Amino acid sequence: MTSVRNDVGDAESNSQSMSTPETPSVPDGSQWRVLVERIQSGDNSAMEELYSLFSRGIRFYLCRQLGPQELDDKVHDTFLIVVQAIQRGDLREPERLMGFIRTVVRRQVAAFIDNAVHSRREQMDLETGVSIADNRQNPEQNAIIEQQAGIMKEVLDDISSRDREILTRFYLHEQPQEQICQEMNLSETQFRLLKSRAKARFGELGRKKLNRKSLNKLSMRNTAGS
Amino acid sequence: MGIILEPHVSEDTLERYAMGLLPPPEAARLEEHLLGCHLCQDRLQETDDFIQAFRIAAPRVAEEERLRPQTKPGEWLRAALSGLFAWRPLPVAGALAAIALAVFLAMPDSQRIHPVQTRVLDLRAIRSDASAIARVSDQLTLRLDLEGLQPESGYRVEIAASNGRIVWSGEGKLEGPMLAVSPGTFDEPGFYWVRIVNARQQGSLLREYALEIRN
Ligand SMILES: [Zn+2]
Repeated sequence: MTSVRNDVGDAESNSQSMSTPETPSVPDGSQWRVLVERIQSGDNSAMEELYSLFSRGIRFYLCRQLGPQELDDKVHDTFLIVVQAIQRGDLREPERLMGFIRTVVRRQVAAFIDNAVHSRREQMDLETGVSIADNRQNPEQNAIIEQQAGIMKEVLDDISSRDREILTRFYLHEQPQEQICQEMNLSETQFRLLKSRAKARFGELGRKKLNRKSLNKLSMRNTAGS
Repeated sequence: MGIILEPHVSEDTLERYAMGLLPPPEAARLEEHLLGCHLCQDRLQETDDFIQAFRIAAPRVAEEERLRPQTKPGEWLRAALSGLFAWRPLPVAGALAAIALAVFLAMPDSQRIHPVQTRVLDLRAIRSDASAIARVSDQLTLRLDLEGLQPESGYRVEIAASNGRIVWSGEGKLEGPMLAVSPGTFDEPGFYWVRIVNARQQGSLLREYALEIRN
């Protein structure tokens, strides 16, 4: 877990964990421009480069929003749309490449959701109002979620009811931090520390008990080059 | 491979994003960062896992805690009855106490104690997880993810039972990128569909979310 790190501001630096030899630094505007021009000229190696830089991120975003079903196809479709849009010249400011990809991915998510909602509705209409089976109930995923909930229960059983209340106010009832600190007579540092400890404990127990990574990560390992 | 994208996203910002509380401009910046940063993708995944597990486990722990003193044999009942019947002639109090105890013991376990608790549940369109589970005793507020829709007024929310019968409908209230509704408690366990419909366009269906209510 990363929660034990000291992060007080809006942004933080952790170059140590990112500075591996195979990790390229973020290209500046001119490098994005060169990459975009190479894609526009049909350079296959440029497309591979774009794919290696963003396929994991696209995959992560799609999986988070839509779940792991048919993820490979969705990533492929989305990547194709990005490349075609670049080749058509839709990206007028190449230095805004990341914002452009995000916009395309978000539109894709909306389109996937629209399609799913409408096909579900058509199926429901055919069945005259009887609901179709809930395809969200993936047994393997549910088992993992239940395991994680079990681990969390252990974490919560081990802390005081006051600490539980503080965390519940924040994570369940979404009360603002300032309100919680004021009403529970807590400093901001104590509040952060409590959250960090709970996360660290959850991560520690999770590593001991679950010899697995989340489904999303499993799906991501299938991606070539990541 | 990823890209070095420093500075990385702070823990607070990741948490607020995971909870759907980050304003759209900040969320956009974060999502751009996430597209290229493997480290922050992993950190967000861990944050998602933590929050999801917390939202399932915390109500269970709270329920256990509430049940603990009450399930000591007859204690709560004795306490309640002693106050209630203190002024009555003993035989009447005794008879009423016996009736109350008989009714209590005859109830199925699931019906004995339904501590009502407030619960906020986030529903995300299509996303496959089992987090959209609540209990009949929960006083529910649902926050519907508006991913892909314009956050604007004019959305109506309907909740349909699995047989298609509409059991609740009402106006949604915009809370950042989410639409919040408070349908209260559900009478029956089962599967429900929570739908966002466009009130201006003859109730056309815009989004649909699955919700399971358990005993
Ligand atoms: Zn990062």
